[in-house]
Amino acid sequence: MKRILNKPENYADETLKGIYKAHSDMVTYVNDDLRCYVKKDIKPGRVGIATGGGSGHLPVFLGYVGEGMIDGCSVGGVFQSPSANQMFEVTKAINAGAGVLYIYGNYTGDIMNFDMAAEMADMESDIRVESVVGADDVASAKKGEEHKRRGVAGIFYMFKIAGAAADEMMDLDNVKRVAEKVGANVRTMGVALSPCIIPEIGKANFTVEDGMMELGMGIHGEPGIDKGPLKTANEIVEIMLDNILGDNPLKAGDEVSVLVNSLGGTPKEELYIMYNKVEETLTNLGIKVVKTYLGEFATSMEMVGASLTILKLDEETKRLLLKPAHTPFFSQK
Amino acid sequence: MQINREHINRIFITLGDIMVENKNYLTELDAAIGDGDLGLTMSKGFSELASIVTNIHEEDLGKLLFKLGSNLANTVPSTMGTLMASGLMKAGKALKGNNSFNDEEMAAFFDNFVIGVMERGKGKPGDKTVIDSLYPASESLKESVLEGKDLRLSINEAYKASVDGLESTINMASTHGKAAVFQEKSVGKQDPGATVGKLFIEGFYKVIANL
Repeated sequence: MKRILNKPENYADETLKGIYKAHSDMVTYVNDDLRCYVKKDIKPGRVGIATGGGSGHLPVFLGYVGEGMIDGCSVGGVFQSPSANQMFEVTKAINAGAGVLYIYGNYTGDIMNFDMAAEMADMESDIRVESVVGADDVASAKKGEEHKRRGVAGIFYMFKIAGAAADEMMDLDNVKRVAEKVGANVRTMGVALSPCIIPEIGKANFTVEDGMMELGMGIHGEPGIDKGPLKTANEIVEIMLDNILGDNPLKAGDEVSVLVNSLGGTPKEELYIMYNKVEETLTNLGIKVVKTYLGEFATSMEMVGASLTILKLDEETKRLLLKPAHTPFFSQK
Repeated sequence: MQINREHINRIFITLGDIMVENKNYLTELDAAIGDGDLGLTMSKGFSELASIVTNIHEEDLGKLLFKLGSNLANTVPSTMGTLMASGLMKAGKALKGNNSFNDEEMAAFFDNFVIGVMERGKGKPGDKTVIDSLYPASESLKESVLEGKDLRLSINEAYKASVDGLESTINMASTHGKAAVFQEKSVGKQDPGATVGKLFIEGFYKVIANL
């Protein structure tokens, strides 16, 4: 495949350098380490929220560092966890006296490093840290085994809503409670039409053949639940909704937010074609869409495909979701 | 027998050599049921430890092991890097204050190393992970030391236990990490993580058995 690069091994760091230059008013880095990405203005007394994970998913993860959302992000190589020490440095930089909440995706390497960072924060700096993992991908493990699910685009809602809760000066326990509530009410399902290539490796380590699609494939190419000929947009949406609503049933009168996310290579036109069917189906069921998001929220570089996320709202999460936010990658009035 | 600073240096230099020699082997094993970066991360991490160990000014062997662990965690924050780092850090903390290790303390080293790995990875024997080669070795060493056997003989038996433990992973199904998505497909394949565990024990065996 063709790519605009200098050296493949510099993919993550040169991306970061560009971001710092383009958005120097909002973000910077600490400990002389480009991979320790933090918000410039840290509000005293506010619960700090940190995330982290591999590169290759922009705007996930660092894209949600900014006003009204999260405060810091440790950045790994493409699809690799950052180190516990980088997470610890970010933790120290964003702690404003009210403790720090980690929100990150449910992946083994990330979990172990965040656990280690939390121990370092406790042992070395007396910073109280709590953690919530995003595990919204319904296709990655069956009902009853939710703890095994992968974290995908739905983590956006955890960042948005926990961030707004922290801005209201809720304490660490309450910000964590709100983040967990979002986690319990958000479901995502994706479909991949083509693979992505890690720049340093140079070839795809999984395939989706021409004319085929893989439902439920993970954002690192983890096997999905069904591989078959490419279906129409409406058929794909129906399958996604069946899986999402089968897992977290909704009834007439419920309010939701919908996120139609491109995995990187699928254009907005196709996302709107999908949303047309999503809205029609939900309206027929008497479910009200309070807020719609559409675009690139959690990607796998050039992977062609999309995911659908539905968050069931209550009064508290709805109020927090609708609050303004402003980051280099996301803005809402 | 007393294991001193010079022996620890030699063990970590040997471990660096072993992981570099097995780089391609680990990569091949990992590519079959994981993401294929294990050879790269283990050779990178352990050759870094080999290159710094003699230059760390630290008489306390517990603190030395803790430092090596945190260095490993920073050099290779991959799953296996973090697990091995957690083992070293846990063992280092437990053995703080010792300038040399007697037989019981060597047994405590492996015991705490395995506990550190199990706590970090939330795993147990039989899950087809690094624990399946480390745990039998640690248990064997603990028993031999209790029986009062010579440490050179004890480490030999512990190494054999790790080899048997590694072999037992062939018939297990993965439940942890990226390999878990392959579950049944992983049956019949030797676990790459347990291979690292066996190589780790091998580093100690090669040095201690020849003292």
